[in-house]
Amino acid sequence: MSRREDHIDLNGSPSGGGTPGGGPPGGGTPGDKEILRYLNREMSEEERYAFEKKMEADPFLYEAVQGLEGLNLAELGADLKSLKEQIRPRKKQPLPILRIAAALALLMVAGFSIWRLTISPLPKEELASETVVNPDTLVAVSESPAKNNEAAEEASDDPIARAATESPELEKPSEQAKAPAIAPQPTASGSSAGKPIVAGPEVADALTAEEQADITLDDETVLELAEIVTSEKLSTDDLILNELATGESLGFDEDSFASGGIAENEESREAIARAPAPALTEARSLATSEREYTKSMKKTSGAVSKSASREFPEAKDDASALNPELAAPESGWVNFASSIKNNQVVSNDMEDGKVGLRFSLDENGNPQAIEVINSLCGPCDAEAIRLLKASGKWAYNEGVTGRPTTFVYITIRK
Amino acid sequence: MWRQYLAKRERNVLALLYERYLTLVYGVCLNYLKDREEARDASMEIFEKLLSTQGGHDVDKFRTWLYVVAKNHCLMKLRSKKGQEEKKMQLFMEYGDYAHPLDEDEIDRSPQLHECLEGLKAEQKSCVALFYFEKKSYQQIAELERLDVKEVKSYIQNGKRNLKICIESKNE
Repeated sequence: MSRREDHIDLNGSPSGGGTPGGGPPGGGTPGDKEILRYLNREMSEEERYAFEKKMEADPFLYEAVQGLEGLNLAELGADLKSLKEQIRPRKKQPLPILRIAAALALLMVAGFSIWRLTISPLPKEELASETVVNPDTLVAVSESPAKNNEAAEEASDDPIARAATESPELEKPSEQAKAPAIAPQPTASGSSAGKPIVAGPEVADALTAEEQADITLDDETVLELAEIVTSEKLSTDDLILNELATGESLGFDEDSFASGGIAENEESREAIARAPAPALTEARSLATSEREYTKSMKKTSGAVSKSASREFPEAKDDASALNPELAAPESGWVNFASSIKNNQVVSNDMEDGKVGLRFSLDENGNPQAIEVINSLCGPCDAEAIRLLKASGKWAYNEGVTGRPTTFVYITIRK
Repeated sequence: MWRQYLAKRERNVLALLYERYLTLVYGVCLNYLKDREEARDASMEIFEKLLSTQGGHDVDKFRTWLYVVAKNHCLMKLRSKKGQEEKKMQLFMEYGDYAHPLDEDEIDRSPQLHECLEGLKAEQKSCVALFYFEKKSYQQIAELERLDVKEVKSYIQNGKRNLKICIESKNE
């Protein structure tokens, strides 16, 4: 089920949950959309009064709002979604033979992966032979033997990294080394798929390798990886990866665009420090960084989640809870961060620091009702709001209903 | 749609209809049961109840009827959970009209209403007047009266109830 379907469905399709009683805003019986806007305090004073007047005249609405006020919107969205799934008629099941075939195929893939990851001897030699095939790569090995050993050790420690190491995709960086002219990708090349991955096709391949490895991992690891792939935490490390791949710093650090869940990541910093200099071949840089990236993501994803919830607790009593998982820029976090950095217009009366903005999205995905939550200085706040507006469209994450507020930090650098 | 469902007894039709009111039903269940999981269960039980109903209810007032069904279902759950204590405290709601004179489209400005309004306690009177005559939202009244929003809502509810009793006694 796509996000868009959910979005339309939960927000108000003409016949669906949108408008119980079919009432248009301002008249008739309030629909889900109005209820959510009221709960999320998105209404003007007049709208609010009109809604409350309806509540007073309608015990059904009154009691429902009383009950719903205790929930934050993410919880409400999840509950309604699960209820609707139970109520909706079940779709026709595919033919049993197809289901059996699909199950068999899945079992075979899973069995093979388990064998590769557990029973089969670890092909360290294989890795070595792959890496030394290319004379360009040999130079890299001789220049940084410690790093390679370290990388190989890490790869053997970590099943995910090991899967990535084993996967044939890692040969690609070697191929790339033969033609370094094509290696660095433009840093802000707008990723058409909305994914902020700009380090070239190898990164996508590495992710595919991780996803393949997921099949055999335990639930917790799969969950971690799912978080990595789906949440904005990915983009922090994409940024790091991007820096490694291009051999140049983009000039902004993680916390310059931290959106709630993105916290500082010591291991990722370490990964940057340990990465080979751009003078080395691009291939080694990518091969090492991919493994370190994977490892650091796995090791720290739990910590990042914890720190995220510590920094931005979901306020139980506040309907507009600061939930960092609610929305993301459509162009991806990397492009968003570039936009913030490159378009900044600073003046003498401004200072360095962060401005925290809370906002919701209008129906076109543009930030609306922007509020300054962490003020830096008057002109800084104004510039942060201008930058957010100019940064492009946003989209609510899957499963989010209504138009709840989300939160972002904009870093001002004088 | 309810009529359509009763004619054909198709689950899909009822599902579509119920989805329209799901947020309200779930909210009411939460209001009484104070627990997400129990409220979700209750919302599904109410749907099953509708599926098994034999009809005969006024189609035009499906929404009102649904509210009564939902509320009574939750009260029943509460009663069975907490034993007989609840029975004394909570009376089951009967299906009927619940309109208050103040909530009519045209606000009743009869002398009885004003007399009864004067007879209310100070907080109830000011909250009712600010809400219905000054058109202030709960939040605005809370700020003006230095009260909590919950208190404001409570004063309005109690004020309205007392007003209704007062007006009905005067009309008899």
